Amino acid sequence: MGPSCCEIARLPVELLSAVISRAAPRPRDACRASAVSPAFRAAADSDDVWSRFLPRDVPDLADGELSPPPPSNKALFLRLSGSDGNVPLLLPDRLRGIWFDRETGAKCYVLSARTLVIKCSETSDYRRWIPLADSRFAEAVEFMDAPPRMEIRSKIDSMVLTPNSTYAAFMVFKIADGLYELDTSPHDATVSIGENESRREVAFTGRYPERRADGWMEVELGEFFNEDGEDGAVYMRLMSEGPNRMRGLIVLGIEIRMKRSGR
Amino acid sequence: MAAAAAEATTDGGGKMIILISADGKRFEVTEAVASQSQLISNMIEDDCTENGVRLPNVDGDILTMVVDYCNMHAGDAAAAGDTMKASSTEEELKKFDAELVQALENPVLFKLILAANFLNIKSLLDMTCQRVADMMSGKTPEQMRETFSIENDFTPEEEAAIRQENAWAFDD
Repeated sequence: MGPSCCEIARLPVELLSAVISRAAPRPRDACRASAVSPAFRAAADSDDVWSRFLPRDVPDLADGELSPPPPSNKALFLRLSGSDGNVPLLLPDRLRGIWFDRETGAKCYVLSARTLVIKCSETSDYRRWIPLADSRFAEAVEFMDAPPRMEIRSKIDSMVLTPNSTYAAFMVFKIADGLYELDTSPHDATVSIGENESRREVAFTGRYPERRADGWMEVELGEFFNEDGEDGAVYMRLMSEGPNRMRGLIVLGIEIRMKRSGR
Repeated sequence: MAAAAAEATTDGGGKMIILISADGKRFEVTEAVASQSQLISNMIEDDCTENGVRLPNVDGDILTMVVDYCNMHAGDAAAAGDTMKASSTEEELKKFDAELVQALENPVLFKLILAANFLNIKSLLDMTCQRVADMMSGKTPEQMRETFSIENDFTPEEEAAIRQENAWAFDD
């Protein structure tokens, strides 16, 4: 290796960090730079580089969500963006979770079944709450019977979302092992913000749902654009005129995240 | 002799300063030019430039480029009233900077970064770092190694572990 070789590797870490900061507009680029060489890794993993990516508006979290504290800015970023495989971070009520989209930094949420408004028949024996072992949430709702008319509603304050971002809302669910009986006919899903409303047909079977890496399934309810300074709420609704066969449907909640990227 | 040279003044009356590179080359510049370096500016304030400023970290050929850059940009930093010297127009400066930076090849570019860092010339440091950043951006680790002639001194196990840790960044 000649003396003119590897000059870049002789730059002090802080200069190499300054260079990588400029060269790495996205967290993805900084991660890639860390695989170049040990000198690059020291610079690309430095707190200087990652401080630029950290969200400035992390809300209060449930106790213990960030403990032990991540040892570096990079580790903190990975934790906040759920890239360490431990998503989402629970808000203090432990019924809602948040993470930051690792490509855009936008705030994404998951609202557990306990926060949803579920309206069916007058009686309550069409559903039950079941404990969860494979989720950050304690419970999900399982449908037992056939309600004549079914409606699941949720809303989120648009101020807690990231402005000028296109989001999509997904219902996250699974089908119980054993006996289940689901309608294949679609339900109406609407997602609205201000005057804008998206409306589509969805179903929990057939071509609609997608399987997720975490073992749950999801179906998109619709998308919306959260404008800058929009003051109001995003309403999400799934409804159908019954009777619906929904035995065995387990709903975890509704996820609101960036349209183009998963997590 | 250095002391005599350091006493020299320009026609405009600005004091001259001698910069001496690692390999003994001497450069005579005005205070306005030299003080774009925060390091030298501090030395001027502390009155310790009389015997010339020795720059043991900077080679003559690199210092030539630094002095050219500072001469060109003296108009920026000097008092606006200094219209005796035809200071460069903004357009000329942009062109000069673009040509300087485009012409830089790897080893020289990095020496210039080190010099700009040592002399603490922020605009030159920003510009040269940006040049490296532009060469780096959008590249895979393999392409970065190739661009900068970097030997991959990770063991295969280490590299695999890093890629594993950052797997999501490599998934497209």
